[in-house]
Order: sequence, then C-alpha cells, then structure tokens
Amino acid sequence: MSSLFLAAPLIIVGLGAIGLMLLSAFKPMPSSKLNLITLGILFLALLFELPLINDSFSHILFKDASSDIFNGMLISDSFSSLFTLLFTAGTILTLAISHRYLVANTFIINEFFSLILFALFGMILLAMSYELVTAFIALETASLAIYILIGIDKKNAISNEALFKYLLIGSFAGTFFLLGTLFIYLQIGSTNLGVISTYINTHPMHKSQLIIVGGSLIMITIMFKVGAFLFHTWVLDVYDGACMPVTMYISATFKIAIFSIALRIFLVDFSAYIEFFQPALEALAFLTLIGGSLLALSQHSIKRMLAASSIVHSGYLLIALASFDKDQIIAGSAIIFYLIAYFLSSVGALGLLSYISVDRQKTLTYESFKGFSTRYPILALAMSVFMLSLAGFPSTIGFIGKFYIFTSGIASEHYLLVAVGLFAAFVSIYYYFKLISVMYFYPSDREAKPLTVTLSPTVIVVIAIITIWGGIGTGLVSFLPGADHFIDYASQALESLF
Amino acid sequence: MNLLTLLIFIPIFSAAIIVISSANLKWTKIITALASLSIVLITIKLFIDFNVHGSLQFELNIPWIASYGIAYHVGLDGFSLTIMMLVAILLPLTFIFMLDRSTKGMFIAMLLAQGGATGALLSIDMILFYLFWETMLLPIFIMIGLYGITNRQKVALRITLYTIFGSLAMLFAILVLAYHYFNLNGVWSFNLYTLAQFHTQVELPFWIYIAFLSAFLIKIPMFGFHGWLKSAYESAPTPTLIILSGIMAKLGVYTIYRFIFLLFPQEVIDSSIYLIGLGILGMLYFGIAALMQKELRILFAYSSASHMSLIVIGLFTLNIYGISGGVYLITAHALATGGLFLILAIIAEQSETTIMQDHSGIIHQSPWLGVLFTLFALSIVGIPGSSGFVAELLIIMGSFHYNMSVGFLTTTTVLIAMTFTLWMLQRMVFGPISTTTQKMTHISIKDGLALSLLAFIIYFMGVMPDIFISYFEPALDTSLSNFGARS
Repeated sequence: MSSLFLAAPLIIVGLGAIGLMLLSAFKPMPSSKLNLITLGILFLALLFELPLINDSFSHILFKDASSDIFNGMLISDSFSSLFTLLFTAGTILTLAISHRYLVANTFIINEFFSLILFALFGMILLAMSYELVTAFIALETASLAIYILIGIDKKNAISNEALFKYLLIGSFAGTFFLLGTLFIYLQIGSTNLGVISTYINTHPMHKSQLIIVGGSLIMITIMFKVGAFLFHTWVLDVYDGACMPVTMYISATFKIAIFSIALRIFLVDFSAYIEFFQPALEALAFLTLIGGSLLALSQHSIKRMLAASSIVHSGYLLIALASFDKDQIIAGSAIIFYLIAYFLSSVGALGLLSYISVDRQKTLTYESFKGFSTRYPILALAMSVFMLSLAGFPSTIGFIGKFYIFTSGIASEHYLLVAVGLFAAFVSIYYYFKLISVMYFYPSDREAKPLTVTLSPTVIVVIAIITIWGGIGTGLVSFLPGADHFIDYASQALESLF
Repeated sequence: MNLLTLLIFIPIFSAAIIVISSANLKWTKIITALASLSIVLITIKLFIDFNVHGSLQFELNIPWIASYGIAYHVGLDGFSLTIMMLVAILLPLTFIFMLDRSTKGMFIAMLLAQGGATGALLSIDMILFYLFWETMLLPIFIMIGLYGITNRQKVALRITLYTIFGSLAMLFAILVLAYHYFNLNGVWSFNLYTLAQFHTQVELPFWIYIAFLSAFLIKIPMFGFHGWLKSAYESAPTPTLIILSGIMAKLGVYTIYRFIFLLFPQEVIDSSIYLIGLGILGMLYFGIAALMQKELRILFAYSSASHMSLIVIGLFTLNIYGISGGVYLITAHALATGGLFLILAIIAEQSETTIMQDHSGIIHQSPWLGVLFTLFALSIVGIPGSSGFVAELLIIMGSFHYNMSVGFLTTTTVLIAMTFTLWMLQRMVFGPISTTTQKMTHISIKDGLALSLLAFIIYFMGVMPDIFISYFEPALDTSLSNFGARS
C-alpha cells in the first residue's frame, strides 16, 4: 500500500488547514459557509480512511528499500487508521452539531475553522507517530491550536481566564513529556518506539531505572491531559470557559487522541514493566472516580457538571488502563469502545446545550431546564437518552461501554477497583437523572420558541438514535454494525500494534 | 414467531407507535386495548401448549454480543407461566380502570413497564435479564415523577437510586460469576444454565451471593431494605402501585427462585434460616406497622410488604409445600392487592380522602363497592374459600416441615393480618354512614364488572386450586430434587 495513500488524510487535513487560514486572511466569509467548506474537507479525508477499516496492516510511512525519508517516525497501521477515523468522524459530528451555534455567535472568527483543522492535524499525527519527539510535537501542535480555540471569545473574561489557565498549566505539563523522553533517550540511545520496545523486552526492570523514571514523567503528562484526579484542577474552569464546540472538542475528541498515544506507548513499550506502573494507575483510578464524583455532585451549572463527570469518565478509562497487567487486548478494546460511547453521549449532550443556549451570557443550570419536555419534547427525549448513556443505563451504548470496562477490570481481578467504579456509576445516576427529572417533572416557566429543523437538531437526533442502536443493535441487521462489531474493530486495531 | 418475544415486544412496540404517531387519547386507548387483548390471547395459547412435565419451553436463543457469550435467550417454565398469567389478568383490568381516568402518558408508561417486566420474567441470559430489570425502572420513575402525588419529584429519584444500588451490586456479582466461568473454561458465557452447572467446581466467595441477593431483597422489600416503601406508596399513582406491588415485587421473589436457587444452592441452604428469620421479622414488623396506620394507602403498603415477607418465608423453606404456597400466594396476593388498590383509588376520587377515621359505612352508601372491598380484604386475611387461604395453608405446612418453631411463628401471620384487616373493615365499610362517606356514589358499571371479575378469579382459585397448582408443581418438584441431592 502506497505511503501517499496511507498518509492522505494527514496531508489533506494539513493542506486544508493552511488553505483555510489563507482563505480567512484574504476572503472573509460567513461562518455557515466556512463550516460547510470545513466539513467538505473532512469528508474528503474520510474517503481515504474508510477503505482501510477491515484491514489489518502495519506500515512505516515513506520507507522503502532505498530510502527512509522520515527515519521511521511515522507509522500507519490498523490502530492509527481506526483512531484517525474516530478523530475525523468526531470533528465532523462536532462541527455539524454546533452549526447553529457557530453561525449565531459573532465571536467565531474565520480562523476558528482552520484552527480546528490544525488541532485535528496534530491529533492524526499523534496517532501516527512512532517516535517520542514526534509525539510531543504532535501533542503540542494540537494543544496550541486548542489553547487559541479556548480563548476565541476575546471579549469574555471567563474565556480569557480559561485560556491562560490551560496555557500555563498545559505547557508546564507538556514539558514533563520532554523530560521523560530525555531520560529514556539517555538510557536507550533512541526515541523510536520500536527500538525502545526491543530494549525493554531484553533488559530487566531493575537495570532500567532511567526508563522507569522517563515513563513515569510521560505518564504525568498523559494523566494531566486526560484530567485524572491529582491533575484535574484545570478541567472545570477550562471546560466552562471555552465555548461549546471547543468544550465538545476537548472533552471528547482530544481525550481520544491522548488515549491513542497512551495506549501505543503502554502496549508497545511498557507492557514488560507493567508491575511498576500498575499500582500507580490503580490508585489514580480510585482517586479520579471518587474525586470526580464528589465534584460532579455539587455542580449547578450543567456545563460544569458535564465537565466534572468527564473526570469520572476518565476514571472508568483508567480502570481499564490499570487492568493491563492481565489481558491487554480486552482492556485496550474496552478503552477504545468506551471512548466511542463517551464521545457520542458527550457530543450529543453538549451539542444540545449549545443549540439551546445560542446566547452565551445565560448559564444553563438545572433550573433553566425546568419543564423542558413541554417546550421541546423531542429534544428532551434526546437529552434523556444522552443522560442515560452517560450514566451507563442499559439499552444505551454507554452501558455496553461500562460493561466492557468492568469486565476487563474483573478479568484482571481488581475487584475493589471495579466496586468503586460501580459505586461511581451509582452516584452518577443521581446527577444525570436529576436533569431528566427536572426536564419532565416540573412545570415550564417560559414560552417555547419554535424549532426550525436544520442541521444541528437533525444531528442531535441522529446521535441519539446511534446511542440506542449501539446499546441494543445486533448483527441481525447485516449492513449496520451491531453492538459487537465495534469491539471487533478495536481488538483488530490493537493486535496490529504487535 | 416466538410467542415469548411477542409477549415482551408487543407492549413496547405499541408504546413506540403511540409516541411516534403522536396519537390522541382515543387512539391511545384503542392501541392499548389491542395490545392487552393480544397479550391475553397469547397467554391463553401458552397455557394450552404448555407441557406440564417439561422444563424450559418456548425457548429462543440468538447470539447478541457473541464474543462475550451474551445472547437473546428467553424461555418459560411453570413458575414464569404463573406470573405471566398474573400479568395477563392484572394489567388489562388496570387498563380498564384507567380508561376514563388517565392521560396518554400513563398508558405509554404502563405499556413500557409491562414490556420490561415481561422481559425480566422470561430472560434466561443474565445480561438480557439485567437490561430488562433496569429498563423496567424507567417507566416507574417517569410515572411517579410526572403523575404522582406527595413530593413526587424527589421521591421518584430516591426510589430509582435505592433500586439501582441493588441492581449495580447484582451486576457486579454477575460479572464476577461469568469471569470465574471464563477462567475455568476459556469461553465467556452469560447463559444461566451454563453458569449454574459449573459452580460445583469452584468455591465462590460468599459476598457474591449477598451482592446478587441484595437487588431482589430491595425490590421485594425485605425488612431492612424497605426504606423506599413508604414514600413510594405515598407518592405513586394507583396504576403504578399495582405494577410496583403486584408485578415487580413478585418478580423479585421469582428471580430469587430462577437465578439464586440455580446458581448458589449450597449458600441458599446455609442461609435459609437467616432469610426465614428476616421474613418472620418483616412479617411481624410490617403487620404491626399496618395496624398503626391511619391512612389506607400506607396500610395497604405495609400489609403488602408483610405478605411478601410471608412469600419469602415459603420460598426459603425449600420444600414443595412452602414453595408451592409461595407461588400461589404470589398470584393470590397480587390479584387481591390489585383489587384493593383500585378500590382505594375509587374511594379517593369520590370522597377526596383515604384517612380511615373519616370513612364509615361504605357498604350502605355504595353496596357493590363495599362487598368487593370486603371480599378482597378477606382474601388477604386468608379466609377459607379464597386463594389466599390455600396459599397460606401451604406455606404454614411448609414452614412446619422445615422447623417446628418457624412453623409456629408463621401461623401468627394469620392473626396479624386478621387484626388490621378486620379492624379496617369494621371502621370503614360497616357501621353508620359518616359525612365523608356520603359524598360517595355508586360504583360505575365498568369498574364494578372489572373488579367483580377479579374477585371471581380469586375465589375460583381458592375453591379449585388444583387446576392451577398442577401447572407449576411438577417443575418445582424437579428443581427441588436438585436441591435435595445437595443438602
């Protein structure tokens, strides 16, 4: 398979980002048109990714018998192609569901769209990187674009505050990644993941102290970006300060990107040293679940509640990450599936919030949703579906995701961790069902504005249907992937790593 | 087409049709009537085709998430047939009651609850069971929150949380159980019968048993797990109460028999004395609490809980008398309390109060209602001639068979039930007509006929119990012989 074809999504998105940037400098356009152009570029990239779904392959990019242009820095395998597909589809859904929000708000300048594509470019590069410094560059590319996106609303003080918080803390955390890479390089002499893997598999742990230190430092950056407990202080303010599409982006798509590099590093490299990292991961998972739940319980604003609950969802993912010591394929597939399930529910919920809160000054709290079902019955039903899926209620894709996570935890015999996870799920029922009860059980205190059927509500309803289908769909309907097909794609992707 | 799948999905699809087509109230009632009629007809067909001496029948097993051994696996045996019959009798009568009283949302929610409860009843795969068990909570949550009375919004959330706590503990136990099977055999499976066969080879920690059991103990409710009882009965609308106490509490008992007895026979035998003790305690406690109530609704709540404890006592005596009595009391009690709640609703809507002190002489003001009230109440007591008598007799025989002192304590149930029921009847139904009672009018023909049919079934079952017992007794006998071989 030609490297150019495999790298096509990356090239298309990169060129698209630069093109949009030039376009916004020379020819200002209304946001609706730009949104459609961006979606078009993304669909073009998607076209190059879809044919690769069912294949199992692994191919270092731009390397052949005679030359190796990038020195083995980039790899394209089933793992990276699955994640690229997830990022592209994620960006498409995010932009589509926020269409009305983007059109209605004046602070969405034209550069917004090229920044989104730059962030996507960084994420795809992250999934394809086979070398630690490349990974860092990709991570920082995506993060820089996201820093600017967070503060895109220049006149809003909260956005500016969120931007600086994330910029300072995020850059600081990013340097740990570099320091970790430095230590690993000191011991091994290379930062290529394949070379590191060979070294780790041939040297015992007690002789590789520098590698252990380096790995721990890299883990710190990953935990920070994911929002695990001790590194979570930025999450609520940054998610709250960013505008809705950007919150969607960082809470869902960016988290998937972080896990792509985390999975690759852990599975390819550090699996031999897992006994060192596993207790730390277990402790982090504990703290994240409990701390995140406590945070989420006390929120009034829906957006902050969803931000705090995203910490809890990182906690569930950490349960599976801590289960890597027994069966890696089960744990890894559980993580990928849960990311998809979380992405769908989170984008749906935040998309709905963005659709009804076109005016940013109003903070949406539980009170604002009183009687929502009488004003907008279909949207209330969709919101209930998203809440149920986030809570892990059966017959939604969120339940299947939690099922896989808890099964992988039990399969590696971490019973106490799974018990805490189940308890966190129980607590989450409270703050998710509270929204459902507020929507349905209280009378409405204002008039309903008529609903025009445009792109955003259609996407909301489609995502709600996918959420239910993912929970109960079966292979009986042959042309649509059922509940178990996603997990098969995920396992296949993970196996291509080895 | 598999009959059991029809039973589960006809109500669910009817509800979906009503929602999608935005049907008005008249069409909602027509669709509900058609759905109920088809459920009744299918249940009758099940009765005709049922092989009394077979084990699991009308099975359907389709792989769902194949890599984890999860399948859509449904099946029916004698016990579930009895509860299916209960659903088929009680729900259409509830719908008849609701015809001139309820809004469209209630019909939709009741249909969904019926589908979910039927699904939980007929599932053999444990994850499928968990799915139905949880989703049957959602309509209850909506009904209490939207159409309930006192403090409905908070109570709805509280009850849901209480029940889900038990369900999550049960999920934990299911996953650990399946993992032990996987560890031994290298394949995942959530099929109940597959998992039941292997446990002899593996020592399971005791807490799995407790975790699994807790979901059902909360649902029934047993003493100590009953914190949600009073607020639920205070706030829920009447049709919700009928489904909650008539179907779902019974499902709690049924699933103990279906899942716990198969998966943990040794633990059941070891802990039976404790659970019987808990049942006796509950029976006495709830009975005395019922005696102290001033308001009819809560009295019925506690009386219902008292009888559920009696059913659990019968179940855990682990002999044919006790369990048959338990099954029979499930049916008898569900029908009788269904009738009582419907009557309660009629009294409440005609006279705006259900405080017992305010009422007197109902039988003189509204004779038909009074007679029906008395008949249902006496069936709860266990008067000979009613199905309650047959059931309680069997349970008492079973508990004597288990242990003399247990048997002695169980007979006190008749005394306690008699006390609060007869006192209630004396105060409310008989005596001079009070001012509040004068507001009541004659019961409508439709309601009267429905309730009379119910009363007829209850007393028919009491006079000719053998017709019904013969359906489930052989299956109980075979499953008990598995027990006997182990103890």
